[in-house]
Amino acid sequence: MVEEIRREDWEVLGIEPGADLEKVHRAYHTRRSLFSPSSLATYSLLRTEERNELLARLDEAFMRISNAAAYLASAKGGSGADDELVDEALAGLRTPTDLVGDPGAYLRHHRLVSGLTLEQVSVETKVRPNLLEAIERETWRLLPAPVFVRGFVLQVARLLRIDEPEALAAAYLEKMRLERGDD
Amino acid sequence: MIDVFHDDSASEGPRIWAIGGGKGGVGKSVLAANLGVVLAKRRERVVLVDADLGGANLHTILGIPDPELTLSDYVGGRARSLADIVLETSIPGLRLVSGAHALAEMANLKSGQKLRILRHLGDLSADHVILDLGAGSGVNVLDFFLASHRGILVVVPQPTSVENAYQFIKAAFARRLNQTEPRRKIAAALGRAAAGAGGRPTRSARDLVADIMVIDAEAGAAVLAAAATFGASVVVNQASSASHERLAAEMSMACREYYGIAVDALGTLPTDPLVGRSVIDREPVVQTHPDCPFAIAVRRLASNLDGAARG
Repeated sequence: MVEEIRREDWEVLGIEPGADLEKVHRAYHTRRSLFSPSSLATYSLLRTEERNELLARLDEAFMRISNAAAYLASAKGGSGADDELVDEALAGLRTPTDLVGDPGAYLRHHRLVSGLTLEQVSVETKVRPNLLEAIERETWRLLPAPVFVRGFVLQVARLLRIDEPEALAAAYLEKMRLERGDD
Repeated sequence: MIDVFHDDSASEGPRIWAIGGGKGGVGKSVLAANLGVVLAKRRERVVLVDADLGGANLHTILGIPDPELTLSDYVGGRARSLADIVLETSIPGLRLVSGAHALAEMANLKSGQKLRILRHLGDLSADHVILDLGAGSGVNVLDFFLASHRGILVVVPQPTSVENAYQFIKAAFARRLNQTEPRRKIAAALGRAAAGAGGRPTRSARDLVADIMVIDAEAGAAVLAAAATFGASVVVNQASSASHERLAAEMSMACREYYGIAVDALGTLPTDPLVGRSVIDREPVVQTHPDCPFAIAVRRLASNLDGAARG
């Protein structure tokens, strides 16, 4: 398990949570150069200790994001050097703010932050990986009857130590009912 | 606040651009003149106003050695309105309000006179009014800068110029806060923040906003809005390297991230020996050498101006 990404890490880099690897790198290098002691643009603006503090925060944020991304990519069976997998892992780090509106993404986010693959969750919950993926992606037509879905969501939510598994399961079923047209 | 250009009756008036930047000799007047020529060549009506009170030389750059009417006639009461002292130049569509010989009256402008000038600027029949401000961060300069639709800061890639630009931004922002409602609450919150009520040293506008938010949320929201709508742009002049090319964008980012004040990057103008020659020849370089690198960059800058007005 690697150190978790903090919300302010994205702010320090000035990018949206879940931005792709290229954006992360670009943001990091732009700010490194902006805060470097030889930068004309911040000369006279920053005192030495402020400059060092900003640079240290920048480095930490970048390390946490890139390490987590590489870890998540490797946990998916790829290598930390595989840009596509890393990007996908980063996209999964977008913090869903809306549990009710986006319950599938909410589950996926918590799984990725826990560093678990679909296969690992499957081993623990005995729910098939492609079904887990359908749950996360809210692919309604691949899901069984609501009563089973409720059970799966609860199991996964408990495994991922989500605060209120019941509320999440209820939100999930409600969205499924509205969008799939279940009774 | 001085908000003479923002009421509805003035909405049909000219766009007012103020060119300042703290340090002297960075090319404010050269940019003002050449920008004026470029806009006039687009068949837009332009009035250049030499508001470099006490240090006017736009008339010289435009090849008008001895302007017969100047701001001093207007301030001294010999001319009734600004429109009466607008001079034609050799370029169709480009006119000039000269600041020549205006030292005595202008350098110590009273605030009533200043308000009158600002109001009349909005009444000029033109598409653009370009104010060439003096060096420094004096109150006259700041008030003209803040009353414009957009303030343009000219810097050269030298530590002293960049430093002066930040000092100018700080001074202008402080003056804007003086004019922002709720004035009393903001002043009180500023006082407490400065006294360290936020529990740490206040180093930038960003810290200041955070501190004021804690002290008084209403004042904090007003300060935040003032910072987000500051309406200033940076132009880097005399750029001669790749790092100079990046400077405007970097200063914009530094203003946003460090001060929390919105200052955008309007453009970069290259070092071009023809510019110095044109000043000696007393004719704007975009007129004599329309295809030189500087002229091309001024045209690009003019196109960036479209849609860049504040408010």
